[in-house]
Amino acid sequence: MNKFIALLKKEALVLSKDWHGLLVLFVMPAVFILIMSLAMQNAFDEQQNVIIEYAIVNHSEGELGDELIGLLKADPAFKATILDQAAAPLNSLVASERYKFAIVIPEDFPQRLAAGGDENGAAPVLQVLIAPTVKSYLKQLFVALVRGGIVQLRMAQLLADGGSLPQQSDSSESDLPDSQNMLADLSQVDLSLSYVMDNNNNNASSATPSSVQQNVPAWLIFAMFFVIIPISTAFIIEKQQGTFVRLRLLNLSALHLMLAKLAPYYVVNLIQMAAMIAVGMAVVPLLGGDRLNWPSSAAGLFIITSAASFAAIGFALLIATLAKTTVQATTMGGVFNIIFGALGGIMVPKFVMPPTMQEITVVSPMSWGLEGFLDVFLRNQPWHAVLPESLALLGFGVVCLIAAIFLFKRLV
Amino acid sequence: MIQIKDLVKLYGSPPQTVLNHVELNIPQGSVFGLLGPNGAGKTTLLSILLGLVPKTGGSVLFDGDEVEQHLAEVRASIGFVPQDFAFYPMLSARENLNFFAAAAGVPRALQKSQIDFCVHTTGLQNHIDKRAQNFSGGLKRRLNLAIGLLNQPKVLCLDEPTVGIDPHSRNFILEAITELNRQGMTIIYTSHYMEEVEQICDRVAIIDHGRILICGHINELLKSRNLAKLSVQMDKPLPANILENLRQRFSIESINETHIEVQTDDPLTVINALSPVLTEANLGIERIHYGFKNLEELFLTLTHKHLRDNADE
Ligand SMILES: Nc1ncnc2c1ncn2[C@@H]1O[C@H](COP(=O)(O)OP(=O)(O)OP(=O)(O)O)[C@@H](O)[C@H]1O
Ligand SMILES: [Mg+2]
Repeated sequence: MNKFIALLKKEALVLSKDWHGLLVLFVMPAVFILIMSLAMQNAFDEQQNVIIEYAIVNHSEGELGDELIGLLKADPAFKATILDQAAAPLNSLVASERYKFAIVIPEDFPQRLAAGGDENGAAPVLQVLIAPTVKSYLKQLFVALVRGGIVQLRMAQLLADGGSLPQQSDSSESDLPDSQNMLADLSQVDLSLSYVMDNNNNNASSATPSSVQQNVPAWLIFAMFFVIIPISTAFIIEKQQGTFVRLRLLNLSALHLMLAKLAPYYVVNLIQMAAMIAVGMAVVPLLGGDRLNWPSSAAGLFIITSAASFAAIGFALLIATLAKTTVQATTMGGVFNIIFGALGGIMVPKFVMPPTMQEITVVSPMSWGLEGFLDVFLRNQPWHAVLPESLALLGFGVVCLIAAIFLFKRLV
Repeated sequence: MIQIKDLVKLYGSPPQTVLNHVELNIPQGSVFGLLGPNGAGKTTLLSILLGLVPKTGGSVLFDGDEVEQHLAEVRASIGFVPQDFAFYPMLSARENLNFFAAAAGVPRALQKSQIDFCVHTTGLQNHIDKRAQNFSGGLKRRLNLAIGLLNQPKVLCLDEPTVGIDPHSRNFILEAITELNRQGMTIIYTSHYMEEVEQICDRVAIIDHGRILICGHINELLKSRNLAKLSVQMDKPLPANILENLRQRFSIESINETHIEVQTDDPLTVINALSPVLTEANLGIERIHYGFKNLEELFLTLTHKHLRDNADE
């Protein structure tokens, strides 16, 4: 046990001297996250703008409902579909992202419209359902559109209803709503906004992440796999220098040597995780990008990070055992990482890939890690949602580690 | 202390004989030199002794015990200084020594004194906090040696510990080894530098292509008569007919026109026969020598090749 502690201390010491390698592990993903989150912000927005469809269900009989629909339809950025009252449950249509939004116009819409905006707690004018993955700016845009439509209707109503004018002139308010009142009205219109949560995993995985939601987990997992650089550099020096011969003479087993390497790099991976999330939450918004949300489950985040770390270190040890020189190891490791990254939806987000490519992503352990991260950052899943991906990563790590130990025993 | 009997090692496929029925006896307290050119099998022999490489046949006994069956004890009694620099270049000498002492299981209470001993023996005091990768070749070799001494071994195995090293460090290492031997440590020293082996070893074995060509006390080997040569250097060329005449009586090798070598265990008879012939031809003798001047010559006689391909290696 003392010998193992000595090994652990040595690994930590060796790692702490390799500050070039460490720098790469932190600076590289941070830079990628910043550049990609900001650069892709527009691309992601467009991606979503193109497909923004919403549904309208009209329960009211009169002209007002149709008028509102006409006003809303005038906006080219959103595409409305009028659904029959008896259509499939609206909630699930929105939850499954078939529609990003849905508007439910109530039966007593005219009455509510007349009362809306009063500060006496009248019923909301209408109901807006919002899909879980809709980003806040988009929500604001849409709500503004709806409010705008309602305000226009009310203004038309006020102007048409001459009888109410004297009453109003008695009050301190002006006869016609001026621009200031219109603005006040805009914010006063009471809408019932409800987010539609989704309980179905399959539909959830098709949710589209925002730029920062995609880039933070993606480059984090990518950078975690880059522990291959410091691990293999240190490992191959040991191999070439004959240090391993000495360790064998001290009766330290290959398993011990490998396990001693796991711990310090696991800590590094955890720090990477914390640092990259901090970048996503603090630095990206500072530079004008979206802010990364808190994960839905800290436990889930910890589990998927740990599993990804184990996979990355196991893989790094396998490559380090296979390679003969540092250059070979860094080249092999770099190439594998880039292939894993390209296939795994790191460089190109999975949701923009064609369907066949999307299926291929499952071959990359990085995509397992990414999906796990998206479970907690995007899909608001509980901790156990990350278990399938975590187990896959764990299995991958175990296979790599066993192969590495087996090869190592033959080589040294 | 160490007895090697009929040791055979085959490597690879098709099998290549790397050690060919090796017989060696290394007594306690000796400084035993294992001399051989590149690829002779020196490292392989040490590796088998340490149980790092499995042998193909024969037996290796350490204090009467078969090494393979007593690996832990044998390894604990042997200090090994590998041919490569077996330490962490990014760590300082002190960090390396601390780690290897702990990994070798030196009790915590003894670590400091043991490390101090190793540092003083190898003269690393002034370099202890420098990173090993910034060391000169000589300092690296000395650190390599210091680490090999950490477990207070009974036997110290050094695999070419002076390759690529400045004369100062070389002397330091050779003197350190001599001093350790004086304190009772048995030394096994492989090298392809004859001068070193002559300087510090009392016994030597010459190995080539996995065969032990000769083994014994250095002084006795250099005196060994059945292989010795009488070398005569003359002031003028020896006429061909006289040389022919001598060839019929002795086994003569003519190095050049003025220099002959005669392999014999009875140099006096050769000189007696040579003297009237030379007088008659009016030739003088410039230099005359009998026996082996050094191991290099002995090696040359045994293998008909130089121990080193070139002197710089
Ligand atoms: N792992 C191995 N597999 C196959 N052949 C090997 C292996 N190790 C050594 N050999 C071969 O065994 C022979 C002896 O090698 P060894 O390293 O013991 O020689 P050496 O005397 O130490 O040489 P040097 O002075 O270069 O260190 C060489 O021909 C070498 O090619
Ligand atoms: Mg060797």
